[in-house]
Amino acid sequence: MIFLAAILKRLRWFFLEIEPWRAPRWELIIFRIALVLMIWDMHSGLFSEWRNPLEALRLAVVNPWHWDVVEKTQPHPQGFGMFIDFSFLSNDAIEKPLRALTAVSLILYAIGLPAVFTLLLPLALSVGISTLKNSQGAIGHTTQVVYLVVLSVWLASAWAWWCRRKGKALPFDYTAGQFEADLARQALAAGYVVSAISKIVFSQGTWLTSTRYLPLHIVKNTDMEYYERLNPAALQLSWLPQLMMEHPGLCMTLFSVALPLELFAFVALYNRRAAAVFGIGLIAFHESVTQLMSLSFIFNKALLLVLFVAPWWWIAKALKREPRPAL
Amino acid sequence: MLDFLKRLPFRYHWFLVVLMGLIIPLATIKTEKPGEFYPFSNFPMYSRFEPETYYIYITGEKGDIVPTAATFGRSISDIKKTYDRKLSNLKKDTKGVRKMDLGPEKKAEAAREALSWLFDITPPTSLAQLRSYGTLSLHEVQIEFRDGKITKTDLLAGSLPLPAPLP
Repeated sequence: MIFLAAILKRLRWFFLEIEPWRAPRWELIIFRIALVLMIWDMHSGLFSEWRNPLEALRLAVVNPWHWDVVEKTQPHPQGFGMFIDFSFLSNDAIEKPLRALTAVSLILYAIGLPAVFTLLLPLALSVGISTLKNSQGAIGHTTQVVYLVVLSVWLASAWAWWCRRKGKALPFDYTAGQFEADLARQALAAGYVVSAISKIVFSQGTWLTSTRYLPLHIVKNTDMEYYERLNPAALQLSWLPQLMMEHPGLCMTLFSVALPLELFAFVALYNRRAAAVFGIGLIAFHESVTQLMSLSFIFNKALLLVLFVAPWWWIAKALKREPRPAL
Repeated sequence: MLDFLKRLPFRYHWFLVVLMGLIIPLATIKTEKPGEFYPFSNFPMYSRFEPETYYIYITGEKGDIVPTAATFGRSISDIKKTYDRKLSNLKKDTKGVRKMDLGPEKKAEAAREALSWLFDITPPTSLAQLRSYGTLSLHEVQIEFRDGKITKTDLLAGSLPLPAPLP
């Protein structure tokens, strides 16, 4: 009994002890640079070459010069598109100067100027372009999590700026940068919790059992990947769906872990230990989906790595050999 | 209630959960895509795995496959969603029939509209290459689990002859 109580106490400390995430300055710089790269991807597609950093760097510099918004109309207005016609962004005379100003803003953000001023244009332009693209009749979800995080960083910066003017302290006496990272983390977790709720609601509670049909969707996605780029590598696992269909327990086992990870992603907000466990678990899940279904989830993985796992902080901590906190 | 909210940790997180999971879906219930308000979303992708599905691909006049990413700068998934939306619109007139079972005329109309949209958004730098395909055809591949096996059925949904360049 005492042994069980000790385990519960340790688990409680491990997952549910609220410990303010006081990121050191260098960790916040890593976060800023990662965010800049993710935002700039919208104007360069640099993440398509993330496995090859030199090529990604080349794309980041070369692509924006001829990057072009081609959607001239907004036939199915969505989101802010219901109130604003964003098709003006396809006008080169407007688009190109805004892109150049975005580049300048992102550089200023990267070198440490407040996000409330420097992220406003990149956020507004990216939301405008994405809304225009999503107003063509098809909704894409690839970048939503990035701009949910960027919006949260901007709001945190605005709040921090206002508090500073009024002489008020931020929660947990955070610095502005720490507060920005904190709201970014809360936004990322919210995306996962909402996604899990949607799975439960839309499937009327049968999501896990419906995963027995996942192999059909693997076939769909890998074939689409092939037809998109004529990439034969996409068909390498073409034997797998039939095997999975014959053994539905395989899919259910994989996804029985994924749903709780998403639904309880808010636990990652309690402290770095919980964040690392949930971050690694969700990255592993995304990676398995990438391998099975050719869905990259690259931004989710990058944000989880930077905001939840933060391996560089654990390495620095191990090198410092700080004493273990007492229970 | 107020006391509970004051003690609730991560209030911004829960605010976003309520906003994206409840408020926006209710506020957008009568729009084409309930729950979507970029950058907010209830992330409905793969919230249900149906026992049948389909995808599309595009070929040129000689049957050669058109790689959509390089040609149109669009993923197959985007094009499929557009074609699917056209089918949904046409299905409104035909009650009791699933989208996948709509007649060939309706599918041809949806395919033509989707291909026409693709042509309209093709970057100018890709237009010459695109015209070399002559006529574009949209294929629908239905995937089902039948008799213990995954089966695929390839249907030519519709075609669009590309307009000649302006003199």
